[in-house]
Amino acid sequence: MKEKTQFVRNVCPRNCFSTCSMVTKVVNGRVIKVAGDPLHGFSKGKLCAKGYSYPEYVYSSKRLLNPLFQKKRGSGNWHEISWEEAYNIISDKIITLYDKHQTHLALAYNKFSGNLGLLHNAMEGFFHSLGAHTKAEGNPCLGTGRQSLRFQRGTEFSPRPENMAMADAIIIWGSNPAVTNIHQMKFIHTARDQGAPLVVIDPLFTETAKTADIYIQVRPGQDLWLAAAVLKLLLSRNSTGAFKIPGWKMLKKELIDCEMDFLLNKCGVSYEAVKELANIYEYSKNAAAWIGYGAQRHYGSSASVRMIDAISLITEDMFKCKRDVYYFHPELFRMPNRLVNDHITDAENCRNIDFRNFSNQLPTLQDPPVEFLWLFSRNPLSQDENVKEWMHLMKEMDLVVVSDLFLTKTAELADLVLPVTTHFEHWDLHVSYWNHWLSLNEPAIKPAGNVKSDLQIARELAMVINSKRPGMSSFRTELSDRDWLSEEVASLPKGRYPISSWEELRIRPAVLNDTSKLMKQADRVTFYSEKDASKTFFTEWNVSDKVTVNHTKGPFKVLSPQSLLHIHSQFEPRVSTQDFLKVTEVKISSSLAASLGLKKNDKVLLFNEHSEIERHVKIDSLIPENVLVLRQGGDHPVNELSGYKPDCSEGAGETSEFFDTRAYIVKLEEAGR
Amino acid sequence: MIKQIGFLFRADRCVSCHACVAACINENRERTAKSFRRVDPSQTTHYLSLSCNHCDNPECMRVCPEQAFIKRRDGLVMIEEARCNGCEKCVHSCPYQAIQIVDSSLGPKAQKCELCHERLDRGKLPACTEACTTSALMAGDIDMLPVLPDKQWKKDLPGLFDSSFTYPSIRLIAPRKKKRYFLS
Repeated sequence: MKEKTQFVRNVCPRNCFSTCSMVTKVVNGRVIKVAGDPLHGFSKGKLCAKGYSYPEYVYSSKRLLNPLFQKKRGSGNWHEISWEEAYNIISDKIITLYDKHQTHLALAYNKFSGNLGLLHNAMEGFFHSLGAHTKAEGNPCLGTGRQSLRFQRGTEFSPRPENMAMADAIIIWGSNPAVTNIHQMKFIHTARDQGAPLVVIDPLFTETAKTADIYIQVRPGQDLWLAAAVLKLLLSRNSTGAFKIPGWKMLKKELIDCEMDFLLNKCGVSYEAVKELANIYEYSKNAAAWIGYGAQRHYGSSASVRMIDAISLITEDMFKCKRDVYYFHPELFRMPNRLVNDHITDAENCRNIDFRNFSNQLPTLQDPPVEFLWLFSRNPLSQDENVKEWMHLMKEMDLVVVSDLFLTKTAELADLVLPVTTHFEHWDLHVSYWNHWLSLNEPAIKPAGNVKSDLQIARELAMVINSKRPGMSSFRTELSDRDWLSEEVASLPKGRYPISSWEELRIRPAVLNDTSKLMKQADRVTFYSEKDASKTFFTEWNVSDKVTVNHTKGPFKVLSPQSLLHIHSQFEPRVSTQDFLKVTEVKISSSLAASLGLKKNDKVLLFNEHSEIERHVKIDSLIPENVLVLRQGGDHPVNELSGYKPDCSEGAGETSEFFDTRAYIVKLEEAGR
Repeated sequence: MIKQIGFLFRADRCVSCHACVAACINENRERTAKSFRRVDPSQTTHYLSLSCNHCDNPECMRVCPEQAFIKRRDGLVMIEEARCNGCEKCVHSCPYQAIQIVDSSLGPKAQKCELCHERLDRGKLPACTEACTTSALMAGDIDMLPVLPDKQWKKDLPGLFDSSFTYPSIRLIAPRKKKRYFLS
């Protein structure tokens, strides 16, 4: 047989900064190899370790290939069923619930970032096509920082990340690009080659910190006080600055009134390090500051984000030089998103539930209560707070449907699991939340087994429902995947991207033209308190201090940063290389190990009011004294220790406050027993 | 030998992203599921991305009872699979832990990085160096090293076995001096 080789453009759809375009080598209908796309100007022909493992991912023996029905929820008694049966179960339930309540509010879905492709908004479009329903909303990942910066800046800004290469100093607060945004590192190195120092501020001595020219270790969640100390020192040296930014005088007075020792004590950083950091902010002409999402995963971190941003705003004004701040590129929210917007019929009557409180709040809803839950692009049992409440919620539902590629911890508790396509098996369109590139994903191979894309599921289910109840769904079933690409690209503002049709993206990805709306607008900046303009800064900002820790007995702060070879629970299990920190381990400092009498590989129990999980001890002399560092994912994932209670006080933001999780640690067994 | 191809490694740029490790698997998928390359995190000042160093004085070649190892004219150290009986002597003798035993249809066989020689023949870079996201890892003739301003290529770096034993074909640039402010 003659070998048929094709090269196809795909896009990694994961919740990651890079959104890499890739070139897939397909031989006789099988993915053989993947490579970076040299025409993608951000990743420039490279992939990451996860990216290169996609062929294993696609052909994983654990992939689901047929719809599955579980006889009794959680029993593991699964049966393969046909799509026809699956659609009948779902459509009958939707119709029954509508007849019972005369509304679709008894239907709920929960979707977040499992796949960030624009055509993956199809299922949201499907729910809207029915009318008002119940759904999760918010941004548990980066919402607090985004809110804070939008308030302080009066707009949203996102310089091209490639520009970081031109900075003469780079200061990274609470981000670890060596793990989470690997393609940014080459731009950082280019700047370093030209003499720019790289400063990393992080509680953990991360891979990026190891590379940094200057590493400053800060107490977890206490970036606010370090930023305030830097600003206070700069003010003491440059008292004559006359700033027009509203709220500036109040901020200045407070910084002056506050003792330096108090600030240093709070953040745990030495005066020498603060001086070093202040010098960099003062003497560089083009300092790039990067506010990481890690800096805002604590209670009250809105204040930290704003204070870090304030250093850049103030020094820009003070020294009349360039101070780019990098956080988030909001393009996903600026796209036409036709798949959702074409189907919105009754958005104002939808019930919107905060992601973080979803499992608590859903069972309390009445008139009507929620009886049907669909989860797609989502694995809350391995990722969300309140795992017990989630399990309870799943039990209470009449019907739980999960769409996924694998039998995840969440899927294990569903009635019905629908197997979905990988990005090698469907069309899609992608923008990044960091870089400014727009890329097309083409199908490279036929879908494995009987898997379907979210868009196909939405379209076919709408047809089944309408055949039973004409007109119940207004989903535009007449449009093919390619038609949706065409609609989406045609709806882009003229000139926004240098393309006139989506087909041009088959040749190369395109970069955003119009960045004028993405820059700082000086007249909108304010330092006033977001909640109340009469409040002083530190009364709002003091909230970071909500919980105190007993330094010897605990509970200790639990940090669960992103690991290199996984994204939350995705890319599990792996066939080859392992992360440095295993999913069965907890990393603690040598001093904590000594004070608790723990040795390497000892089996320990981590526990708090939410749950208890077992791990093996790994000792690291370079992490802060009183923290427990764990990886996400696994059989008993770290999120089992996280809880969320709604809080309406000043410090409440939108992001999940995962890094405020606290747990005790006790020895179960000596190592080697 | 007419030249010696080897690895050039700028330690300051490596951030342990493992793209080299994964790209090696991606390239050699039909041969093995395990990478011929690894990243050593043991030093606090830098990482080391390591595979076979195609030594000038290969210890694997010396200990192999079947004479399965060959040193090519371009300096690459190769394994003649038909001769290998999987005795593992090379595995234990390599100071860089670069050799692994893979179960093939012909029994256990020693395998290691062969510097993507088929790619080199086609004028392409080895998969690991092509994948390196920060250009920390490169390959080339180690007698014709690129000149980098203010930087010097070295034969040794902390974390790497002493070069005077097997004369590994790797040249390295040491990390810069760095400032560290840990919590007191």
